[in-house]
Amino acid sequence: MSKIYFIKLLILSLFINVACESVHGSKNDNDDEIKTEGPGKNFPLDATVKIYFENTLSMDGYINGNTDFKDVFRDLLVTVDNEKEIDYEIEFYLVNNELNKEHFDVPSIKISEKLTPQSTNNKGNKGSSNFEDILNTVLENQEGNVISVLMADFIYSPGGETDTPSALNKLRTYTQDAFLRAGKQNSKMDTRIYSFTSKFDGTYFDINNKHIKGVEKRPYYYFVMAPSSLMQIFEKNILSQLIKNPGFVNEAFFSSMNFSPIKTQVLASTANNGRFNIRDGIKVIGYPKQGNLEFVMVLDLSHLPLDDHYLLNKDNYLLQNSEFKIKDIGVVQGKTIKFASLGSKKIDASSQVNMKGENFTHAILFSADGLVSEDLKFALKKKVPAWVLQVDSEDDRNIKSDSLEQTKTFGFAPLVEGVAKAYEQQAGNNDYFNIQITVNNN
Amino acid sequence: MDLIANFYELWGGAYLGNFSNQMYDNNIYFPIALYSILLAIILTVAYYYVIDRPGTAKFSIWSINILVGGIISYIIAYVSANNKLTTVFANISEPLPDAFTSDILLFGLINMMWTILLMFLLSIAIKWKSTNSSFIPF
Repeated sequence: MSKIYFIKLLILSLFINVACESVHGSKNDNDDEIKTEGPGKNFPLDATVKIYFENTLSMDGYINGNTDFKDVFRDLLVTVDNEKEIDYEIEFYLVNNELNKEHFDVPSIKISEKLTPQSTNNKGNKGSSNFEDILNTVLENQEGNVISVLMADFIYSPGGETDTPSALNKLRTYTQDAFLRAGKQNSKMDTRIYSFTSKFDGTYFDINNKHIKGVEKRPYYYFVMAPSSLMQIFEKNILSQLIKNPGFVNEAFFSSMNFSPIKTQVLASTANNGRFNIRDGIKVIGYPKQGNLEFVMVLDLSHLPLDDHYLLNKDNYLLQNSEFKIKDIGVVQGKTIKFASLGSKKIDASSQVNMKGENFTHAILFSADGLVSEDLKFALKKKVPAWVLQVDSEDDRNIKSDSLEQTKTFGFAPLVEGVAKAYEQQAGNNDYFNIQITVNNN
Repeated sequence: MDLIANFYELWGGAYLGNFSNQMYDNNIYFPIALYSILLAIILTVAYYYVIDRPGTAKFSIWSINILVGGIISYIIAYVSANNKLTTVFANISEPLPDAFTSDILLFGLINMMWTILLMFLLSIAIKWKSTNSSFIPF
């Protein structure tokens, strides 16, 4: 009798143990937290904002009367002046063949009002716009806690050059050289380019230096150069305000940083086609009877200083295994993925559990035609944004009659390509990040 | 952990998609396997060395013993998996997916099968020194 009692007691204790653990739960993988680096944690208490205005005749049209150019410039000065996180000192320079510090005897926030074709006369040679020299001058003064903002139309003036392609190649190479030399002084310098349009009331000088009147709207650009840590905070607090201006068109970012590792998670049951085991990489359990093998990977790209125009462009990704293709890219919004082409897809409950409550910002839908035999390897490439090539002009002689030409800038792409090449050479790679996921068949 | 998952998923033959992923990711396989192994050892040892009487040394009693072991292990698997997965999904404010109901039933049956098999093998291994049941099951 006592033996039976003993067995009953053992079984009872087993039940109690299992039941207790079921009620209270136990530590599992969900409790693990992945710590990610937060942006803008390390920045100085004070910094200098050096604002350079390309003081040439072609820029007079932007500062003649009230223009959108002046509105944005005024916004910049006021926003910088009112910034609380960092104590900024503003320095304003007129730059051409000379570098002239100017304050027009007014407080810094009023400089935009005093900036006129008349007030900038007799400050260097306004008939010359040599961007190789201008960039050199600006970059030579880019040291320490300095943020350089160069405001210019960046219309290349070939001068006496008769061979335009050769002149543009020279522009590309000299720009690359200027940024490479700046990179030697400060290897963690980032560059941001902002494109704006403004009312224009002045003279346009074409490739042949012909004076053209009557062009009423023209693009101009801000080149912003700063150490990475300062750039993060300057972009967050200042530049993000400027791009709210109606004249803002586009932006580009250049950095030698690689942002790997990127936090990723493959979702086995959201917008998928086929069956997967996602424990160590991806194991294909079953290929679909119809269509391609498809699965979604979510990524945390919150710390990448790139906008969604860039991140959602499939052409900016390089897949190193030709078996895979990117079918769509989307943004994670709560429990939904908003794909660019496929529209909204709800993240199913199991996938949400897999995401462990962590922050993921973007999703890539991969597709593979046929059996897969190699790992999934892909990278986000550092490319010159498509808009730069769209606004580039190689012949501006018909600008007065060609409305599309009026939105373009002669020689702009070689200039930006020079910047991009310098960063690529400096970094030794051309990727924002690389990801490799093991793929096996069952 | 992978070894235990392989036993429960029958080396891919009983891989149940999301259910299997959640069982693995949330480390639910291991405690269920541990309790089931302990249960099998206790019941088998108890039959041969604690209860061990002439009246229980019958194939039918031995069969009832391993059947009871199987049923208990089925209940352990069902209750543990259901409760833990319900908690996991409650954490993201989602109910347990409907498809998991049949997956949990199947998982319980697989756990039952392994417990019965283990009790059979243990019986073969330890029956020799039993006073009354050394010839059970054969």
